[in-house]
Amino acid sequence: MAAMQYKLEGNRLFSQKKYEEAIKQYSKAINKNGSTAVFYTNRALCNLKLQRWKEVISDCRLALDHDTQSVKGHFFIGQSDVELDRFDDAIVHLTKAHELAKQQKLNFGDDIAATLRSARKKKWEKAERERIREEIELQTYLNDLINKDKKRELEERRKLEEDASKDEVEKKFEKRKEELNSLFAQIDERRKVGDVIITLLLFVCSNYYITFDSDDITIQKRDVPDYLCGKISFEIMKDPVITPSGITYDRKDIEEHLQRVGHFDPVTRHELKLTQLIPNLAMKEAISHFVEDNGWVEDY
Amino acid sequence: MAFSQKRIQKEILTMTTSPPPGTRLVTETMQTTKEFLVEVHGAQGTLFAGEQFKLLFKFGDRYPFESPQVMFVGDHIPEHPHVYSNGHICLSILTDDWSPALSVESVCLSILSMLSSCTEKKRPPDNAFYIRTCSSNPKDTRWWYHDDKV
Repeated sequence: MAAMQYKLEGNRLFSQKKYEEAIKQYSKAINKNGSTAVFYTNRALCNLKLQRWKEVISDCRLALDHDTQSVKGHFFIGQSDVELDRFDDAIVHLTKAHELAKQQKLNFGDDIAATLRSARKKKWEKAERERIREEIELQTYLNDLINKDKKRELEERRKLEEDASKDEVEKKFEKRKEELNSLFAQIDERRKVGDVIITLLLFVCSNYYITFDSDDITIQKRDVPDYLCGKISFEIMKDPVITPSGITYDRKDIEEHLQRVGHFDPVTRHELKLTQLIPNLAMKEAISHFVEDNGWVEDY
Repeated sequence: MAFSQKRIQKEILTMTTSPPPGTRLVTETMQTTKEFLVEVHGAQGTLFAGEQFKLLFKFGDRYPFESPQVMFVGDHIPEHPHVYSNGHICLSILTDDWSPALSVESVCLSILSMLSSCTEKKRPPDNAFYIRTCSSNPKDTRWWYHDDKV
């Protein structure tokens, strides 16, 4: 049988979700003809379904050896890397897959972009957990130091037979500890501000009446600046496009507006046609920088 | 969550944390995000100074690609040439001139400025006829925007 026939048989088995058997067929195809990238990426997809991440990666690397432009090769490596917690590598491959798909005009819907967003978010979450762990470690270490210092000073006083000043020393160190811990609490508080806003919203929506002083809440942190948000969705833009009036919208929203509401720019009301929309690359770059630094944005 | 819901939630947040002056989102009776009340206070130095009104906002699934339904409700309806005694408001941005770039905040501001620029407290000339014949939804009315002076 020719390699192509093994591949077709593999595809048939794959569509019946018989992944193990499909893998055998693809392996036969590879034995016959080891230089076709698609055989490797198809086998990789079977392994992806079976959650064998390492196998996915080795198959995709072979595929990329024969075809450096393989979208699927990069995409599947990226997906497996996410599963293996290797986020930096995942982001490199997914970005590459996203670019190649665009160049080759292949339609993967939002799949690649969505995986890329989730990889960025997980990377940020991992870093955030790491930061919190380090802070706790530092806090414990400093508290220990204060305790040791206190012991040492008490010891010295006893040697000098100044028992009367024991309370004074006790107080001094208690105060130090309090100050230290309140500093750490402040850092923690700032991190939680984003969550506070969400909780607040939930309160309002679930019919609670709460009074609060807006000065208590610093909204600067964990808030997407208005200039990165679409003028229609009020959300951070995925595909920003600019109109002749100079206003930037998210592509899907402005397209829906032109279809449903009318042929005008929603902000300036000047006439506007679909063909006049131009990708706003600078804005896109600014947004992706912001998203990289602020992983929480993904489910904002 | 539908797209419109997310946007409305964000607007509610803005109305709670930094509402336009002279307005207040009524959170006490809020049941859903599809419908809520906004309190409007007549601005100082205008005919409506010291008066307080309630605006009802209702959102359809196609918001913001269609305008929200907005009308005055309660016992106290402002006596204004563009406001019918049943609470319906004749304001072009609420129907023909709606744009998805408008928001709860900008609608509130437009209505406030409409009230503030009023020079004589009276009902629209066709009030008696209109309230007998109109639908309960002001968006079903084919509005004629007679004048843009007020």
